[in-house]
Amino acid sequence: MHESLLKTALLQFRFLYLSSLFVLFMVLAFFAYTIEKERLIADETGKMTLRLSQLEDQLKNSQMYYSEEIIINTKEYKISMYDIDHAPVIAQHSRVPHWDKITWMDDSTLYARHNLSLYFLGVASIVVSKKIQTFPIITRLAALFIPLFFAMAFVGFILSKIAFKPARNAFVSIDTFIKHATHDLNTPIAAILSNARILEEKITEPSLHRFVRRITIGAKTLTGLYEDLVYLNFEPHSRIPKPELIKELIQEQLILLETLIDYKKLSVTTNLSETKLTIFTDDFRRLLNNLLSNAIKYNTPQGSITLILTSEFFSIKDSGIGLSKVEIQKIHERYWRGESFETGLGIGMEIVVRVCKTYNLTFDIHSTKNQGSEFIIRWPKSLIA
Amino acid sequence: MAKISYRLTLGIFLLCNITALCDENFDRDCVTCHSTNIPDLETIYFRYLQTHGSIKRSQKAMRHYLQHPTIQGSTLRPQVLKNFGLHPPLSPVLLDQMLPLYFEKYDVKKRIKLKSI
Ligand code: HEC
Repeated sequence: MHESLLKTALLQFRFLYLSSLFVLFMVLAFFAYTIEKERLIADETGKMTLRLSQLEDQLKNSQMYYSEEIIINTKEYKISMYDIDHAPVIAQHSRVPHWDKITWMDDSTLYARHNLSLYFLGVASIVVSKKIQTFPIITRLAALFIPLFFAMAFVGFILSKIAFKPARNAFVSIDTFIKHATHDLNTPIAAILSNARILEEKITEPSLHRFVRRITIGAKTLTGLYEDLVYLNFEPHSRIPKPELIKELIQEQLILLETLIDYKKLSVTTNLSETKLTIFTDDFRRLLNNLLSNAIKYNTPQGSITLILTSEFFSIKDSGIGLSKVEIQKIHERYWRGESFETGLGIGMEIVVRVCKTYNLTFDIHSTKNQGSEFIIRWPKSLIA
Repeated sequence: MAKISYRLTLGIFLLCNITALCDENFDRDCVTCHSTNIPDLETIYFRYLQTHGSIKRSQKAMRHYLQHPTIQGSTLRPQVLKNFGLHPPLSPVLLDQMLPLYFEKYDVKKRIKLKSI
């Protein structure tokens, strides 16, 4: 049980680590991309400025030497020339330039404009443009960040394993301790019970019977606890569900707990149908044992317990101190939240909730302070044998 | 000698212009004079473009100058004007015919070629 909790915790930790690492890397990559792109643009702008002054020189020279033909190379840049009224002299661009800007970006294309002070050949301004390729930046960044991410993820993986090792060891040793202690409980309890029985037979003085009876009750309560511990800590030999008469299981528990019931002078009323459910006996034994134990433990002396079993539900009602709203809420929360480190519920309720979850049983708790409480457990139709 | 030949052409030109005996002809009306003498029309064309910044503006300025030639309005160096005197004023009708031909002949748009080499 502890093992799986630890695994969940480790998994949660790793997920958190990976996701925050991912977010961090995305943010970093975004910044790096922005910076790289700006640098690329600055680079290209510099080259364009150079090309623009080359073009101006070309116009100037052709005017001075009366060239018949002026050939302008547009291999690298798209080029347009405009007169003073912004009318194109010769234009490769279909878009109108931004006349208020020297450089600008449009559709991932970088534009640069140069205004001539002398209008050679009637050209007042030249615009050059080039498509900016951001894909190389992205591949470069990906080549850097993706391996780095995996490296960091790997380191986190190893580190979390190391960090969780002490916790794991502690869990394992607690588990082992509980298992050993549980085992060792069995013999002394059995010894107490058998010796109490012998005492009860041997003692002739009636006033002393009371004390022996108390020893028996104490030992039987311990037996319940022992069985709960075994149930929680040891895997059963087989877990094949069989159709069981629930009525028989209830009666078996009533006999087991008879001493306690007698001692408190409780009156037990039963109304039990012949319902059969396909279940694993041990699960329902623990469920019934714990519900019944609680009904006895928290009852008032000479109180009553009512047990009803129909084909749809099982109800157990006592006349005890009742449960507070907080306690009821805790039980429901535990049901919905699933396995958790701390519940604050006793081992008994813990088992009740667990069994309910395993078989998809729903439960209702009705309780009035100092008047008693009622547990109603309902099962899905599929369970009915 | 140059001066005499110039005066002669001027005389013929004025005669043609006033009497309107001849057909319009750019080569005869403008080039004859401008080829024999210094300010050649290609230089003038580029000069106008360079100062006025567009074909439209150049044409407008030229039109204005050739109707009302003044020393201040000229784009040529004062030395040239001193040598040859101011332009003979031209009639708007003649300019309407000649200027398009003139601008067509030296059109920069036809000279600039974009090529991916
Ligand atoms: C009689 C000779 C003569 C003829 C014909 C003539 N020009 Fe001229 N042209 C001149 C002279 C001389 C100058 C220089 C003086 C000046 O610029 O005013 C000149 C200058 C010019 C200028 C420069 C103006 C400036 O800014 O100074 C232009 C433009 C011009 N001519 C256009 C023409 C055109 C167009 C024609 C034909 C319609 C023409 N010329 C016919 C003699 C002539």
